[in-house]
Amino acid sequence: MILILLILSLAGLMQAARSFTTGTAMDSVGTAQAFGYLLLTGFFAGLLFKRIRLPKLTGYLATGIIVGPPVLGLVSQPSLDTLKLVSGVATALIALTAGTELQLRALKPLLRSILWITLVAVCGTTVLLTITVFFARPLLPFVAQLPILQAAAVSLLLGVVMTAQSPAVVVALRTEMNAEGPLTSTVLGVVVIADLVVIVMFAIASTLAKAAFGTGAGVVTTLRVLAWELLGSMAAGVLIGLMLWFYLKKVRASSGLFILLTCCVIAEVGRRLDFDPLLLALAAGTFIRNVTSVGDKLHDAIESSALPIYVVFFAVAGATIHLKELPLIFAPALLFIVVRAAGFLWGAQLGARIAQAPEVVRRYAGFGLLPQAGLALALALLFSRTFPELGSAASALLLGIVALNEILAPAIYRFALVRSGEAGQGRHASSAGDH
Amino acid sequence: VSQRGAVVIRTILGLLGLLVLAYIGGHPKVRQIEKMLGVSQVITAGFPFVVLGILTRLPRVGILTDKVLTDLEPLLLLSLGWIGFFVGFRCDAQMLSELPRAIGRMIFGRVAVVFTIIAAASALLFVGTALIGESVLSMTFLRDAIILGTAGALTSHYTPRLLLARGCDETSIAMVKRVARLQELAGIIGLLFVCAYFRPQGGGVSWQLPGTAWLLLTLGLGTVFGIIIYIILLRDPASQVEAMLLLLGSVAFAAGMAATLRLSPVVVCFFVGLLLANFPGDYKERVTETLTRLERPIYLLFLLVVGAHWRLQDWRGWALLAVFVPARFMGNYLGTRLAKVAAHIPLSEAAQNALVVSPLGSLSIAIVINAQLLYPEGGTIQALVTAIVGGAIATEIVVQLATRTAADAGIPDAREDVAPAYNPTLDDTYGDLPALQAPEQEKSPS
Repeated sequence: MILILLILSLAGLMQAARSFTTGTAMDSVGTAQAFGYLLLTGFFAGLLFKRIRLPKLTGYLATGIIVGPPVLGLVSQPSLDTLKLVSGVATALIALTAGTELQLRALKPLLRSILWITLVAVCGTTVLLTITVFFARPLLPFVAQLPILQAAAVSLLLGVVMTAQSPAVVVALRTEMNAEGPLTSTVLGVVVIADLVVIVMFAIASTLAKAAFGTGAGVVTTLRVLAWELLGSMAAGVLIGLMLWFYLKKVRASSGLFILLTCCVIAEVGRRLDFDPLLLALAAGTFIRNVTSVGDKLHDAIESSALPIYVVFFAVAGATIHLKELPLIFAPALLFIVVRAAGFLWGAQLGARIAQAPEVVRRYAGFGLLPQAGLALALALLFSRTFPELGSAASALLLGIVALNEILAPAIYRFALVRSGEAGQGRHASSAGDH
Repeated sequence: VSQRGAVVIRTILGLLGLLVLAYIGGHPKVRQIEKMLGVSQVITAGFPFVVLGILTRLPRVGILTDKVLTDLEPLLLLSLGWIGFFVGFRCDAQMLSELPRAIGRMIFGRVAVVFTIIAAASALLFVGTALIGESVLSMTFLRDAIILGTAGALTSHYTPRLLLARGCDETSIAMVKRVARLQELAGIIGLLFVCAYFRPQGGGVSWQLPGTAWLLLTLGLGTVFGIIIYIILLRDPASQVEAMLLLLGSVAFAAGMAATLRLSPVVVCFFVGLLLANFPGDYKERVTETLTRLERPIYLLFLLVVGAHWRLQDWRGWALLAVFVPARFMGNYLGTRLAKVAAHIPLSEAAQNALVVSPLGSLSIAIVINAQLLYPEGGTIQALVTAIVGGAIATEIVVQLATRTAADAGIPDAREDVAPAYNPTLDDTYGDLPALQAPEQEKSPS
């Protein structure tokens, strides 16, 4: 009851502040208030959701959806735009955490499962979604009118974007549920590798689609761009890893602040240099975990300071969901969500069976592949920017799919973690569910 | 490609610079030096961050561009709120109630004299040289004079540390500490009046209220937030990181709300901190721990942004700085002597000297940066920033010189005897709080 009263009091204060401005958009001054408001309300909503056995993360997302511009409008669009800096930092932090989780030696026994699940579930689902989009053209006006070749290329591109998963959600839920075991490790390994696979597939599919539309930049240029993004990000990641290693080894003090600043640099400068911040931070984390002796220090430093960033990140993600587009594209979106889920669940089961993975992985790994967030949103936006001729409907479809997966999938994966018995088995068993 | 190459080089240089600064700021030896010399982080770990802000703001470097600075404004507001909250949370009613009655007169007299001399010297400078295009009788000039006088009249919390370094008696140290705290209170009240009665102009504001209403609104807002945050903090967080989240969110929300209403985040958060410090509850230790943990990082980031906002090319600021620093010392001297005579406060010679040469603290910088945010155009705010930020560095240097001169002249230097009495855990942490707690730590065992 107190939690609800607190949430209502904070909302009342936000509303009062809103009435102070005369209709013009609130400037960056409102951002600090929005940051504090999302942090507190998201946190309290997370506690409420935990009480009804839903992930806290869904509470953070729900907060964003309700207080964001489409519903109550307590947090303005300019404030959300400014808070994207936080989102960038959070993405880098999450990838850094994911990297520190990837202890290659420990993953070796699971490597076979990870590779087979990636191949069958991720690549298989891409193919399945591509075929579905192609044959569902009558439901999609922006593809229906295209010649066969162009329609096939767009179908492939949409199939790739829809396949994207979310390491951020997987890492956040692993932390929240304090989960550990073969399922958690396998899912994390798959979503991280799948991230790379999806980026590569998107670059290839995008090149093919551009060629089909006659606007291609040439194979060599595309390969060069792709190499810069992938190899450049990894090399920069190693450089950042070295810097973090030096700091954690030699300085140690205020390491949380230093890591946050580094993530800020990764997010902002990495984007300007056309690096993939996710890949860059992932490479840094993996380097530190597997080459140096400060992996645990880095992990602990992130865990001790990352919660506020995560809460705001997911609340902002919720607030940027395009709810108004949902009714327009609901039917095709639902079809693709069902096909995607089926592809991942069956594909993961098949891949795990081929790899002779433990039973728990066979039964539940597919559920960990369902969440979508940052990468899918980024690819959806990139798609709409690259192919403006397809109109806003294509973008709305992709964003709608991401929105639905963003809302529903974390609860499903949480359920899978609980059923698998891996929830609460992590390093901090006594504080299970604290975060 | 060449542009990308330039960005890569700048980024690598920036990262290396950050690493070096972090190394300097965080290294235990640097903190030992800070402690040994009795200097504040403004000129050790802090000054390089100010310089970094200045350098990264340069168009040729192009890292802290206008857009990035706008994006970082929430961080600045959070820092201002944090400083205000920190100051308020230190104001324990019990400590204030134990003060001698005459100390109120002494503080008032001292602040009034310092304030008047600084304002008068600045007015003389501006009238004599026609540095600003408007009359010294205008409201804008009056506003800026109040801001400069208020910020300049404050005494850094490091002053008691200087006394410790000179082996002063505990009574004087405790007295100087309380004087410094009460002066902070006076500074907050000054800022409160400026924000209430000199309302920022401009569109987008729908509430038109008289100044007194804004003053009451500021107090009311601080109280409402104090109560809400009190209820929030009464919940027992599951972990330290949750406690940090609650405090961070509360201060950001209060500071943001104040800024949205064009009020001072420093003042509103001060009242929040004041209420929380004096309400009953077992959260205080937790809050102190979080404040201590985050103060240095937030303060250093604040200085980085302050450096970026500092317009060095505004030469009026340098002229003002040249007048401000001597005027402040003169005001401190006269104010302290007059206050001692008028209020009959038992202050030792060393304590009086420490008050005269006391450096400017973080609250002074916060007041002038807050004013810069509220009144970005017109007046002499830019010059005030140079005077206060430059003054903070200059007064710190003067203090060090004065302290060493006194030591060379034979005044007993008990630094080595006193320093080990510091609680090492607290003293190795950040900012003003540990320095102020040091004498109490000494007293408690006896």
